[in-house]
Amino acid sequence: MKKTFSLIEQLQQLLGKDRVISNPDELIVFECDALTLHKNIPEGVVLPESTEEVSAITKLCSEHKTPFLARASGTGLSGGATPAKGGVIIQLSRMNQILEIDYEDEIAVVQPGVINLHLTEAVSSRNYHFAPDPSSEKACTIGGNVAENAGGPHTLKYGVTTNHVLGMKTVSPTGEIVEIGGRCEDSPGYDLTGLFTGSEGTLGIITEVTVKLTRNPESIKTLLVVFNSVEDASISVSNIIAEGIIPAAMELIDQLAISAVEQHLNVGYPTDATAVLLIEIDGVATSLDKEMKRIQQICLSNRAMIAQIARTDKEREDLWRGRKETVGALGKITPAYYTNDGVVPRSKLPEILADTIRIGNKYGLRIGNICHAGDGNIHPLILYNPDDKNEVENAIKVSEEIIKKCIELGGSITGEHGVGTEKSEYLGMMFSEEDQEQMKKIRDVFNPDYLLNPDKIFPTQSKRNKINLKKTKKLKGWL
Amino acid sequence: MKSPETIGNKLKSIFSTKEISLSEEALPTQLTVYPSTIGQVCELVKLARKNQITLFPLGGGTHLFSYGKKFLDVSVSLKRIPSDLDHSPADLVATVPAGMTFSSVQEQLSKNGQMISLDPPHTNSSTIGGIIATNSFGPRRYRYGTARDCVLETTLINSKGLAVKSGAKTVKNVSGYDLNKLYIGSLGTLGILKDITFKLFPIPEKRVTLAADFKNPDKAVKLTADLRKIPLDIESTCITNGVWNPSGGTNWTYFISLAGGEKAITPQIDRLFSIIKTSPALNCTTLSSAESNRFWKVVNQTYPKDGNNAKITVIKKYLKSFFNSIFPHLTQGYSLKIFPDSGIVYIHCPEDDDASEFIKNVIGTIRTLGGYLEFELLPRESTFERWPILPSSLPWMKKIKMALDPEGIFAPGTFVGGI
Repeated sequence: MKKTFSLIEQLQQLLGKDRVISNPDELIVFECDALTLHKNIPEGVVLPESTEEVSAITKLCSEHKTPFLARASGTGLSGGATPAKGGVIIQLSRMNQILEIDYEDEIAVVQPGVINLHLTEAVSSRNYHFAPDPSSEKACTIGGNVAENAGGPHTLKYGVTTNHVLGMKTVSPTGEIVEIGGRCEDSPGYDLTGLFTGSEGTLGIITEVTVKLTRNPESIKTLLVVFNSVEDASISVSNIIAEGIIPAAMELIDQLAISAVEQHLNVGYPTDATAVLLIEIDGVATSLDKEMKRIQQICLSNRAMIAQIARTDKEREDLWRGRKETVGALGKITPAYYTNDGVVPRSKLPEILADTIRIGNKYGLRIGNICHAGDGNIHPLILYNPDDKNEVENAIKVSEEIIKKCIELGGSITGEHGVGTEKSEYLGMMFSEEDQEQMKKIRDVFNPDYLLNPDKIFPTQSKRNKINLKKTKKLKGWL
Repeated sequence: MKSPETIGNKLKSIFSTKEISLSEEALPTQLTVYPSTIGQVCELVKLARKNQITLFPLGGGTHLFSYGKKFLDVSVSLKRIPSDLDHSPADLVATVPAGMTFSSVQEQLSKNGQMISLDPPHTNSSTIGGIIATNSFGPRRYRYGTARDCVLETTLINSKGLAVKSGAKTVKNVSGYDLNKLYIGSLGTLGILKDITFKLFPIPEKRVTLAADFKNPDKAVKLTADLRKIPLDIESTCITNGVWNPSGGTNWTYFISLAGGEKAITPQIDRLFSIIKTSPALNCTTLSSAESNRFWKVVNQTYPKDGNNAKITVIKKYLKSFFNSIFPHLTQGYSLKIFPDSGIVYIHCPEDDDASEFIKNVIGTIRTLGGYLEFELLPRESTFERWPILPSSLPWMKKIKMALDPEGIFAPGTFVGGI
């Protein structure tokens, strides 16, 4: 009697048993990414080591009509790497080689599993860095950065991931290996590199990326500004931008986050402050003094108590260590937290931060605020107890109300974390059905059977009625 | 292709006779319409879809390829649609109707000391929609990049005649697919751009331009690598000769513009001078403000109207090899404009057999080194393909065109690989 091998058996034949995980106990690790509110256990996890293996895996999954998705470090915060419909996770962490660094061309070619910070460390001796610097840079991968179009504090000046990607090698859901973009700055035809960046792993699986390297600035000045109110800090941010000053980074941290950081890291943030701004400018040394002086003046005119420039590299590093580890520090004072990611026009920052505090108070939940303030990108961390069903529900409600407020103020539902499963039901707040239809047509070109990373980005039918979709009849007003 | 009368009769259901005219000779269409409202544009697309009429989204007409024949039906210009800029100075963001001319937009933004970071040619007549659809850029690319780096949101009239949005009016946003990237440089083959939101930049307090002459281009290109190593607030760079060289003569002139605060820029001029001094430059001049304006105008605004005009992109580090290969074949009457930090070279040469042979050599060199070539102008009798080197991802691009424009109404046959 003929025996048809299961998908898992065929994957084992392809990769060997040691590179296929199917034990339910081991699969629990892969049930979610850093968005722990959404979980689902996959049927298997495979560990490819080459583009060709990824291609063979996707072919098998497609033949078996089994959903599959790519995952690397799983640091994403929107459920992009959560197996929403089960199936197979293609774990790319073994594809972690920097394949080439070319200083003459100022590019690097990397596999998707390369840790973000490792690339900067690899080129720092030659005075270069990889500009996108998410707070999770020590753990997140460049493949994940590209899939989510990751940002970070310094994207205020240097742009987000899409501004630093020249090309990539991808694998289609049916196993076709497609090279898009390349090493040239311009290539003819539609900008598929720009399309794939930020497509949340729904158009193809990235197996190689060509990224730009950025020269380090000659000089850096980092300013710590202490305020008695979040409002004064956020007004200062808006005033700085309105004056046409674009620092390299401008981060806001509120009292709860400050106290968590100081409790666990002791980096030198004043614990009596209600908010601090971390403002960094960089560039040609002679350019910085005047700009920094003006920034200090603006902050002081908005009742800043202290505006102190870091005097040594150690001081600067400590200030940044505090900012980049704020989330981890907050994690030590709460059993669980929910990281929100919304954006408003930069002039609306004071308003959204006031609303965030109000919304948290309304539901009786503590919120630690950290923001890429210069970009209008807020990250309220909603603290809750995962064992208290009421608190879990309230945390979700708080997040939803904050996002709705961002939209009311002319902003976006996500600045850098992606839509994933977390915000797929909110997409209609920003985009009409026809807008979404235009996007889905693109998804269907690359992912026609929707087996690759399903139930991401777009609202699913079951929850659709909950969201107020914008209607395309808005057009009538123009006719 | 239908007769102009047949199409004209159908268009009369949407447009007044004043809004319809015979197309200019340079256009690939028979008729041109000038809608007064976006509603008319939407109705036009619906009409085109129903009646298999092909549309050619038209900007300022400054960057037209030499089509040489009429193979499409109707050009659509948004120039007459009354339009206001939606500028939010406090957010450094502006939403601009596609039909506005670039210079009028920049003039309005400048009242608040802000600007769109692009500096494309023909700023007086180019429209914002045209600039984005052609991915047009200028020497400021060195600092600010291209349209893909400053466009935040677009609204496009799609093949159903509906306005669809991508992106947001915020400087950060990752909601949904970034379709803006597809529309930028798509030459109007995916729809008609209605408006575009830009991330703006402050206008630098001071700009200073230095010009240095070189005997040949590879020596000038080598200076680029040295410039990268020194901290300087460079805004623009360009190496030119021939029609693009305001100084005339046979030399190659490297233009470098510094921009920033006055106090910061002044000491950098000396620093830049000293770097140029160690290069094989024949001379170096700091241009006065008036000279600088005049020179940049020649460098950036000159656009040959006949002959062969090609945009070449090569891997940056192979620029020197590229020039070593083609330099012996350059003859008088050929002009080059080089964006050395991007690996981009524009070549203009006249219409003759020697030029054809030269171009064949250039294409061969690019194939060897890795890169692309696009003809922006070709003589009528030329046998060259507009894009002689195609990307391997072309089949996916064709699928995108099929998905977003299934009836093929938007400028069919005018894009890469016959899209």
